[in-house]
Amino acid sequence: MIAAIVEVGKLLGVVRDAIVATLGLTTLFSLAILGFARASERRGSGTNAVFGYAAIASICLLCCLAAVIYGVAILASK
Amino acid sequence: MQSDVILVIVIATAIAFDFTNGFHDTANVVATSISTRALPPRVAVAMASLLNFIGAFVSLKVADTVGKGFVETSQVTTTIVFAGLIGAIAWNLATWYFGLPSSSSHALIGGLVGSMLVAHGFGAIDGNGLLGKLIVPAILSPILAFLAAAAAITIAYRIVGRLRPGPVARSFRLGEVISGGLLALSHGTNDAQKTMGVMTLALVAHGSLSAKNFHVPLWVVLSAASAISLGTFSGGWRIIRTMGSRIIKMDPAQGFAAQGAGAAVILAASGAGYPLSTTHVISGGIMGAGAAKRLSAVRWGVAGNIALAWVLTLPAAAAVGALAYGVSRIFGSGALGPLLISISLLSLLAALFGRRVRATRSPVAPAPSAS
Repeated sequence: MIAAIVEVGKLLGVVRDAIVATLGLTTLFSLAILGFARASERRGSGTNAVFGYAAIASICLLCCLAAVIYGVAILASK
Repeated sequence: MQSDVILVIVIATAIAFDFTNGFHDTANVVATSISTRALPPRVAVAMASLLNFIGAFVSLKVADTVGKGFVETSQVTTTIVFAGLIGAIAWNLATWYFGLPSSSSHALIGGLVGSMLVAHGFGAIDGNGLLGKLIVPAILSPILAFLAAAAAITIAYRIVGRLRPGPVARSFRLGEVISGGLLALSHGTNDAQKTMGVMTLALVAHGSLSAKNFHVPLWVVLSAASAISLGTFSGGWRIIRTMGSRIIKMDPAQGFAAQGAGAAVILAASGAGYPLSTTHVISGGIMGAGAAKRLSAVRWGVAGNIALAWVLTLPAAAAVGALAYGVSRIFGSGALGPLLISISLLSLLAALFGRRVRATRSPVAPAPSAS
């Protein structure tokens, strides 16, 4: 009976969006921290790894910001 | 003329409610950032206030649900809306006084349902709407925030767990500025809209707007956004203490996960038009972030008190809303009843603030000298 009253599809959509957003942003932000930390550790070594880690970290951070802006824009357009 | 006076009282009361909502819910938005030292209190509160204002303009789906989803719109009168608001404000003030973070949103809908019940009986309440659009999402949302925050903090610790804690904490404090900002935005989006819905309902009851063409006027959006923003700026320090440190002691990564999960749940629900309680959601997120690290880190006794306030909110606000409607009807259908109740509430408010100010200014007895 409750299934008839509750819009199950809509609620599941909320659950999916919330979990994907939370886990996606946390993973990207944590990877950015990891990348910057590794780049910082290897700063004195003069290898290309420094640039690699810094680039990956920057991309993760940019993706994080882009995801936030995209999410708010979707909400505003509804 | 009489109905115009009641409408003015209702709009003023709705704006006052929105102010108390911001005042009451400041804790939800800033407690985590403050307790993990991501932001100084004044900066956190100012930022939350600004983003609350902006958030109120992002979507209007929740306002639609509040205005049309729970009660029979055609039977609503301005006095019913007024009494519902009184129920919500009274419950908000009581829980603020005792330092309990209950839900302003559920208080608002509870108050409205209570006054509607007394005025027209059960037939005027949309039970399916209440269950499907309020109660089920209300039960699910803190559980969802709990699980999302727990999973997020587990992933974060897995990725950065072997790094030096100092730089990691500093980085997550920066992240908290973003997640806290999103939480403030989501609070403005979901909570300001509830008042917009109620104000629009009052305009429909007054006849200024047609029930068939239910839409939120721009001046309603602006006034609700300003009221919640000012309320947030004024802050609620007692509740901030409960939320920020008495549920769990948090590190910046936990704060980031709790705020991120809370913001994601509220924004996703706002897009679907569900009026959630920001208090329930962020408390769920805080507990999830704490429990994933160590179950005993969560002070379950405090969490239990908060849960009790949640359970009581709907019936208590409904009872006060019903009482306010009954009292106002004693004075007839004119503006006298709402006017007298407003004056009584303002007097009570002044007395409460006076007592609080006297308590904070009372001199501290000097320590006995060791002679």
